[in-house]
Amino acid sequence: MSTGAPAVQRILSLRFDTPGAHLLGTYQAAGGYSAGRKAFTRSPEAVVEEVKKSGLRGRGGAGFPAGVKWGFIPKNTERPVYLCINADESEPGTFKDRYLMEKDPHLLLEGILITCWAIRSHDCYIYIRGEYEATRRVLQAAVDEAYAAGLLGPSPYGSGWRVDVTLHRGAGAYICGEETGLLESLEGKRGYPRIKPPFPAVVGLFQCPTIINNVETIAAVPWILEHGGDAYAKIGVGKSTGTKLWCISGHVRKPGLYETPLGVPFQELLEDYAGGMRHPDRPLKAVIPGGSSVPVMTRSEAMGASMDYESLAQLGTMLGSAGVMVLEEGTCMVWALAVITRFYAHESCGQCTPCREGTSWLDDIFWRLERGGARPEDIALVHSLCDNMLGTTICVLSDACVMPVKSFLKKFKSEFDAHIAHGRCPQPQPVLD
Amino acid sequence: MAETSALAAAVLTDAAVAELEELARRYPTREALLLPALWLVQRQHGWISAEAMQYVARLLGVSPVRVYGVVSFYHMFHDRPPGKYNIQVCQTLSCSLLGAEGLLSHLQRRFGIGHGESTEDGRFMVQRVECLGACEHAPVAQINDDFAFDLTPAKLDALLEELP
Amino acid sequence: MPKIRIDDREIEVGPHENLIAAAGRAGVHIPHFCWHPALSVAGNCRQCLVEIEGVPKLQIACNTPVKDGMSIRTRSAVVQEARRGVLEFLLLNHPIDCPICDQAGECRLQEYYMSHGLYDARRNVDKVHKAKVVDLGPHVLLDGERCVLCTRCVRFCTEVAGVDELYVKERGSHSEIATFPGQPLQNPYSGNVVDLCPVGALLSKDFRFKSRVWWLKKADSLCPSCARGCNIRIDHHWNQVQRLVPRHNPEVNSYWMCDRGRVEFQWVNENRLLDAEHAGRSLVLGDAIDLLAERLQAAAPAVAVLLSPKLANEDLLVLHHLFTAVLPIAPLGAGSLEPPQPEDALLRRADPHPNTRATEALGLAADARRLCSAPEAKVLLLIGDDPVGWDGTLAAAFGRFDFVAAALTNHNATAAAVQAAGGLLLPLATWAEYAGSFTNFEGRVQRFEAALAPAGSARTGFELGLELAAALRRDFWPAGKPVGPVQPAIWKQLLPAGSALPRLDWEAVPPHGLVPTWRKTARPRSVWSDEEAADARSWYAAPPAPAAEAETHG
Repeated sequence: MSTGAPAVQRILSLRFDTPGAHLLGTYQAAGGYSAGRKAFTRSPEAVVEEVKKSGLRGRGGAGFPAGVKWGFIPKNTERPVYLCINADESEPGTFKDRYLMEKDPHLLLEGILITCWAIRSHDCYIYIRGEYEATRRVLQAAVDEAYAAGLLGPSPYGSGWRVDVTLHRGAGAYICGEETGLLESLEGKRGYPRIKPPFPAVVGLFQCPTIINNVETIAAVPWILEHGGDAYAKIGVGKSTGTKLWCISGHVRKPGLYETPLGVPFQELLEDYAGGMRHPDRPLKAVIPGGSSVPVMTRSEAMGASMDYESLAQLGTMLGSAGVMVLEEGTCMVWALAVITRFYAHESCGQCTPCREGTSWLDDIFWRLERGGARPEDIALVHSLCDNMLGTTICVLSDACVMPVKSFLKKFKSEFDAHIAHGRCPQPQPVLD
Repeated sequence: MAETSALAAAVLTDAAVAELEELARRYPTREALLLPALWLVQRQHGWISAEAMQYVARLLGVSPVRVYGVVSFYHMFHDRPPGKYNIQVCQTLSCSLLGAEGLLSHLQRRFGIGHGESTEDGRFMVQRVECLGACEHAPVAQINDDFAFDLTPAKLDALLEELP
Repeated sequence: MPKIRIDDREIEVGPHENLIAAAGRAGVHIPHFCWHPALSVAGNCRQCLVEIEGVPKLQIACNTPVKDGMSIRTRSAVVQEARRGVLEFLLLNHPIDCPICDQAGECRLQEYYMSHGLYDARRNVDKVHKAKVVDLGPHVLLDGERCVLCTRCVRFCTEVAGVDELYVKERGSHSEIATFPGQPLQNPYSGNVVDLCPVGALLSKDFRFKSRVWWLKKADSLCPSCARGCNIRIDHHWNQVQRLVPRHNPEVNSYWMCDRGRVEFQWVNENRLLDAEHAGRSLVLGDAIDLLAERLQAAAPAVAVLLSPKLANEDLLVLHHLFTAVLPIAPLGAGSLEPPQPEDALLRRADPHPNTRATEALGLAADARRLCSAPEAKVLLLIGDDPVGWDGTLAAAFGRFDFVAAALTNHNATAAAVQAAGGLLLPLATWAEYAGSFTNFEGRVQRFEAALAPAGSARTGFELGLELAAALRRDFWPAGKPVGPVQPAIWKQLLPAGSALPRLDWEAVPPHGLVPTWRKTARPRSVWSDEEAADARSWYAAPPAPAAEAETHG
């Protein structure tokens, strides 16, 4: 699925097309696990510094600098430190971690080794969404290989620093991709995100200091330790350093997973990588760049956009999980929004009031707009509900629902007005075949 | 609740219990074994009965209502027998953009079943699920644990035909 | 001490005090559902959002420990908007059950709507429907639609009762409180979740549909069902006890009471002995007292008097004085045949009487069985309790006395036995019908107020004693008859020298009760220690053997 771009632009997907890439032998033959060996000869502090220098940002969606996060672990803590890999990947439009774990699991495992060394952790749990069963088997096989080779277990690289990796299978809940929802689920409970403070770096898994990082984030760590944080920082643009795996789906000719340095123009992603729109007579209408939890972009916004954290933020949206969903002309935006809000209504854990009630209310209103039964005042009502849902909840699922809603209402207002005037969707079909 | 039923004794095979106890060494609490234990039950039986929930509760030293609350929270756990083949059709954005509703209508027409329903012979069950993380192959479904990519009604029919 | 500002008022706070608690002390009520001072912080209702200066987003007050110099706004426009927003969300799926809901009149949704809401409903979507009469356990019903999922009930069971009997099932707006099918909510404290529930979701089976709360009159009282002396409130109407609910006393019972104490009060309302009876006829009380006085006088000192450890301090002090100083008789004692109840590390005491300590302090403790068949006595007088109810064989002994009399609250087995023996019955008032005090197992003296008017011609124990003294034409009061309420004088004049009861100033009993001076410090007692809590949790810890029945407690 990855195209042949220059090698320095591919860090994570280098071996995706290599047969047997998931096997330890293949990985080692390509130089794998040598970055880890290097890291283990350096002090943990130095490793953290290297990652800080790289500017690597969390790839799960929040974009928080990984090295800075690692620094939040309290020094001289008496409690064990845990590393959790967030492999819950449930953000709509996102599938990059599935590839990483299935095609190059040892890259992740090497990243885990280095991270555990850096944050002084002996135990890593990989929380993998329940639906990724085939992926889990591949990953578990890789873990078994690593144990057999002594790369995991009591003494990786002869260091005496035990590192154990345990796969923990989720069971169908998007909210377990929220850091503290993940922790609750790992502890054997309903995946209810925790109130913060305290934050996981201080009180996390089993009440101990914990770092939670996305698969793609940790998969970048070996390269950083091999080539240096400065080298990584030279790739990309501004504070968006390194490469990114883009998940492109929707109305494009070649949906798939593509890796480029951050800062690639969206137009290039669309036309040079994803093959352009699937139908020549159906131009681009809208793009959701970072998984459904970010504001939508109009055609003109998207065609002028640079795919990096800052540029997208300036456009009023977010890079998020890099789940790029492309919509063509002929797609009803009200219907698309109803499909999106239905997701949040289904995935709300139900713990806190604005999200539990608000997501289901919004879902109801948008389907009424689409199918009939909505009232003219419902648009103003939606705006008001969004204001009451934004920033008032335990976790950001509520905000994640509000982001698309407010942006669709603003940028495609005429379609919503037309649905009100018409009594329901004026199109015969919400999306073309 | 009859704890003396034969099923309770056979909820987990000895091998499965051993597997769980081996896993227990990697967690500081027994409660953390709850999801792994429930997966072992579902792997063996296809679903998780009330008796199985009680069994797991006792095995892990947690209260049965906690197990019940967990089973009902996570949508992949079945608290009643699912079909032999559970066809989970993704209905989130990318799949909807590329024909998910068509697949679901097709299944409704062909088998007469909608979300949460099974065919009378118990062979197929249909579930509407949310993003499965394979959007580049939309529309996507899973049949039990296996992905089915780039579906059309015809392709789906062909896949279902091949099932043993 | 740190200082914070709440709405431009400066107040002093404790070093890590919770903001809701601190504001409450300053008279500022921050609306909330899920927070409770005795439970862990859940932070899920979002009703307590406030503005904190310097913090961009509104914060929940319940998860905000105070910091010196903090400035909070609880009434700004943005806070009011947020409050209204949360209320609207809570009411979205909430059924408009007020006309048939027990909680009406003491419902936070109602109160907050009136004080912070008052908006017109904007919803036009179908409400989510859930089961409305879920039998959770022997004492509690759940209406799933009314529930706001604050999880106070879940946290109470886990953290206070020490048993995980409740949890949440399903997800999102379909979430509901649940028990495991076949394993009801049956811990001995289950009724407390009804008090905790801020809305009408959890309901008391005992109180359901009995009375509107605004008709209830309230009296501060004590639970008489064991030696703990949990502080309670008697809610009454039509001179009947409608319900008992706990009052907060951090040194005795925190915010809780046990189920048995909570529901066992029907004996106050029903089957009462209303008038004196003798030889099959009702008597005017004055005549009955005269008759008793005559018989006591004739037989003294060969009179056996058995007092109940359910009598109040004031009853015991008067009767003790009457039968040791005014008309000395023997044997005089206090005791009961009531078997012990289950005891636990939380509140319940094995001793089912509220005032055993006082009987001991007055040197009255005695073997009830021996007293009831005292061979040396010619007359038997029983005051309170139901000895024959606990041991039917005692009835036979009554025939050996020349005269048997009993002052009882109800038509119980003892009353029947006295009648059968041709004896005298006097109606006794229950603790709910007068002001008095009990001495709990720690020796702590606590007052209770009168709630009901005495039933029929019932008299309290001390009234009977005083009227007997009058009928005997003997001086009773060592320092002169009091004018006005009798209780202060009882304590001032009748406390025996050297008794272990504290010297009580009736008008000035501290709110948490008076601990006797021989205790070095009245240490603020948390309701249970770590060991005790672990012990409470052990009810549910060990998995039962497959063939065993599920454990039941109490």
